[in-house]
Amino acid sequence: MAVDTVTATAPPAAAPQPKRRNRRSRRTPTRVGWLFILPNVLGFVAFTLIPLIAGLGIAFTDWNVVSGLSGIDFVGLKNFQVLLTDTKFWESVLRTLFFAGITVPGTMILGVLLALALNRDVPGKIALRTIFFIPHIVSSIAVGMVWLLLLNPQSGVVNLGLGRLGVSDPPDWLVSQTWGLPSLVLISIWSGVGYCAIIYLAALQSMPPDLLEAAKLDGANAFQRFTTVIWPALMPTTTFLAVTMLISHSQGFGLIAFLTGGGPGDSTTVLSYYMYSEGFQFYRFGYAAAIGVMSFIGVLILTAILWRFQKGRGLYT
Amino acid sequence: MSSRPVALSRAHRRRRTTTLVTKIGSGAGLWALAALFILPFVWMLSSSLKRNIDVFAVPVRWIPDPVQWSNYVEVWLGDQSMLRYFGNSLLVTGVSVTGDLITASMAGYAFALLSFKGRDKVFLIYLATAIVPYQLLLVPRFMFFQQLGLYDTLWALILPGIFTLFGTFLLRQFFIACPPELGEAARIDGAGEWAVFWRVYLPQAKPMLAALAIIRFVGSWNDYETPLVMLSDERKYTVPLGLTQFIDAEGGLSAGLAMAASVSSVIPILIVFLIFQRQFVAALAHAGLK
Amino acid sequence: MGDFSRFSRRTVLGGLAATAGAAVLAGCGGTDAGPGGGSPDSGQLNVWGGVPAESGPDDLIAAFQKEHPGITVTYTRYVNDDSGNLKLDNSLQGGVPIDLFFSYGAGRISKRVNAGLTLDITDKVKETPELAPFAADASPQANYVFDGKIHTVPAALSPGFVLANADLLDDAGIEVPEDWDVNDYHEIATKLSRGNTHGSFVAPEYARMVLGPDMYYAEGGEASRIEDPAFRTGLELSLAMQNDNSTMPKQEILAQKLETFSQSAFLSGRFAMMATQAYMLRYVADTKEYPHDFTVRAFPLPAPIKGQEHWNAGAYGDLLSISQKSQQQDAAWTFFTFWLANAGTYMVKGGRLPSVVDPAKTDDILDSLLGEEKETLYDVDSFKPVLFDDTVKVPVDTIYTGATEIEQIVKKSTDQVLLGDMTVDQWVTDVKKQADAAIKKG
Repeated sequence: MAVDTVTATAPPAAAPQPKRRNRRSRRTPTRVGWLFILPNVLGFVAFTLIPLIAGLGIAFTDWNVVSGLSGIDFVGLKNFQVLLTDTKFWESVLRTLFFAGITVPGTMILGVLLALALNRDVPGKIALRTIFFIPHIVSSIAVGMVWLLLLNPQSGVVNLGLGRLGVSDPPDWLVSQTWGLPSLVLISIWSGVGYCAIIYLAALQSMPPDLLEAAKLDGANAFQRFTTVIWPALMPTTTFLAVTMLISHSQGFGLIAFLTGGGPGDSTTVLSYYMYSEGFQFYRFGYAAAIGVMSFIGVLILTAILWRFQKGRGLYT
Repeated sequence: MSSRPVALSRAHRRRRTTTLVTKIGSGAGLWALAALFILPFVWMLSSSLKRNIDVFAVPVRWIPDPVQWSNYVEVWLGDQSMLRYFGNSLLVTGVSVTGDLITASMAGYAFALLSFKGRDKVFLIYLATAIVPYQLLLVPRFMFFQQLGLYDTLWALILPGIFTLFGTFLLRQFFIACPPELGEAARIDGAGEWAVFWRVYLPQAKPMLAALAIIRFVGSWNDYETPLVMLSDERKYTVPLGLTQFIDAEGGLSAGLAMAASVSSVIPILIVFLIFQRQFVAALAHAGLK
Repeated sequence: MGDFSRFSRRTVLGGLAATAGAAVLAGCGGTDAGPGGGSPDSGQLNVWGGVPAESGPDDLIAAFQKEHPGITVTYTRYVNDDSGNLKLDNSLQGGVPIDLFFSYGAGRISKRVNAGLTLDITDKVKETPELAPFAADASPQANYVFDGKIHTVPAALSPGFVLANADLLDDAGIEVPEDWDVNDYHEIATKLSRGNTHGSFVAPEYARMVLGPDMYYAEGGEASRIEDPAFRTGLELSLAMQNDNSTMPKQEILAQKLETFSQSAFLSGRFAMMATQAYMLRYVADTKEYPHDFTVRAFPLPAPIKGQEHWNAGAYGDLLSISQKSQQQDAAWTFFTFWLANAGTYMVKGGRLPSVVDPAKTDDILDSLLGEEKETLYDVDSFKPVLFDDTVKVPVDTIYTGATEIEQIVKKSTDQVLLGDMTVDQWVTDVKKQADAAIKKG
């Protein structure tokens, strides 16, 4: 694709609009901009957006897959009305908030620390980066089995260690109603930290070196350099990670399905698992889609908040 | 900083020693922590050389006894060799990741650094779509692909992989942190928009492209749900789907074989990792940052 | 810069609505070709089933094609889990060419029948003498009948039985009484428990054996019958057996995922007895992957109440149906009857007992099931009476409203009781309430 040179001045159409920032006030001709995004947008509309809209439509129906298109029965807002009084739904909302509320920031804090550590000249750097990414690579059965072994109430390393430290009544972890969800938080942080670190690392390494040099010349110590230079420059990446992890933790259920199946009781039934049960196990696809829509709205609100937060931080000062 | 040369040199020396100490210290600390992360791979490796009855024995025995090398032989040379699944996976993953790097970097760049009509609206829809639980997509996508005649073809896996929200979003966030002055300077020198993107900005993004390539490769390589729903012909199976042959009708797992196949399946990922890690390091040297 | 605040909600909704229209258009216009009969001796058939091709189907199909050279059969294996079944339903509905398919479990088949995905084969079954036990009016009921019509025939029958570690029994000098009941079972399990070895895996399925078909439903299926004392008695038995260590503790079972991997635990001698079905024998026979140095012996399930007739906890399985959309229903029927008649020859090595048994062939079936090392691995004589007992009553459910959800509620709550998080009384109230709600939701 070849794009012609464009004028460096803003086209008149843009002029009347008041701009909040004068940065990038120069407008690209619409045609040029669209040419850049067109390949992706076309594919996106065809393979994601269209099926997705159809998926959202299911939320207003009483439908199970087996009955096919002819069996679609529009019920309006009924599914949502039922949801509002469904205590299982609200309980799983709370669990999701707890789960994502700790997992997302926890993973990101540890991820950025790990990225900073791996960005230094440590022996075996490349091997280390790969190792921390392993939970992301290997089969989920392996991940699940290892944690079942580590957290086994009787023979697990964790409880044996706690016993050595004099803890007389250590938790039963995954088989406990109280500790099931915290265990999953722990495991999720562990498995996400390498992924976060890789992305932070890439952002760190493409950071303009003169930025850091300038900070060094100003006599800033490592901590100051981090808070004043590195962290603000990482802000777009942080937003990206916060949003994508929020999304994946509001959708993922593979590990929960394997490790606890939502139990004991309903103690680890988060929203995504509840949706999975209703749709894929009980074949109430309309209801499951309604749960999906509610989850969508919730994450949308949280994303909007994150977005504001990022802007409030004065990224481009 | 201090103006006295003596003090400066002493401070410098002290800093060098502390750097060395922290380097060794943090290295040791990281390696200790790494042990916890390598554990699943060790479990997989160990299980891949075990008989089924030993895989789930408690307490776990990390060294297999006897060592069942035949698991690998059966996985690779048995009646249903994984070879074909590997070929399919390489094709699907290779094409979709390469395509995604191209479309995502173009779109991400435009969303971040070009200012044009309709841009923000499109981006908002992108972002909103990413938030919709993907399980909602599964059934409609199946029906849609069936209409398009893509069902039971590898295209059903490749095409959605070429156009991802994830890549676009990641690169948008990267480019938005890039100084716009770079492009302005090139434009003043008479560079076209494409040249500004291709020669000025894209090289900057090398580490991020490497990260995206790694993450998308892993995602595509390990994807189970999409091929499960879209493929029925066993000759078109990808590796994760091929693993289902180790699950029997009652849901029982031939764990030794499954893990031998899983260990084999991780190797291409490790290779990709090492290749793109070079990109990380190269970018580092390029930037002159040590 | 993605400026969130600047977009009105209307812009988004407008965009969504426009694309929704496109989606509906794209989704419509599916293949509507009517079903056809075709010829009984030629055609190309697509068969979908959950058994891996190499554990029987391949051999059976090879034999079929030898006998019917005009018909080509392609077997597609789907994994019988949630996603795999969704794939089958999608494909049946979406017009993927499938002529015959297997369903596993009454809940799954009932959904497919109600959605009109299966061919009504009532008359075809009636005209086939070999299939008489599965006709709509057969007694005892051995088939799933929907509104008096037959849409499926089970190709497998798996009676439940107790599989025991014979060496442990003999070492303890225990004789199992022929008419044992659950209390005898409990007592024997207690005697067999030593150190890390438990007498039994879990407690017997008391409620199922007492109540039989539709155990969760009150007459008519409008409400649950969790309040039936059988549930309480069964739960108390489980609790008692866990408390005196004669079964494995629930905590251990969950923490090691033993519900999925029970064969490993049994064959490494961690417990002495378990109620199971024929598929378990395939692991016993697999001495390469599951080496063990003891023989196993089979017993009938213990009666819930001594001397009283009761239900068996096993099930009819491998429910074969012809797709309503099949273009070659006659050829499909040819294959259908062939499968049912020959499952006993080809499918047994995969641990599946046929539903149609030629009495002259029981020894062959047994040989094929127990494998080559049968003399050292099994107390062979104990198996024939439990596997081919005509008098056992295997329950056939007829009500499926919310069945999957009720099963999940019962399982989770039972886990809670056995983990000490819930009392038996709470169990009854809670499960009753939730099961009734599940039935209402449908």
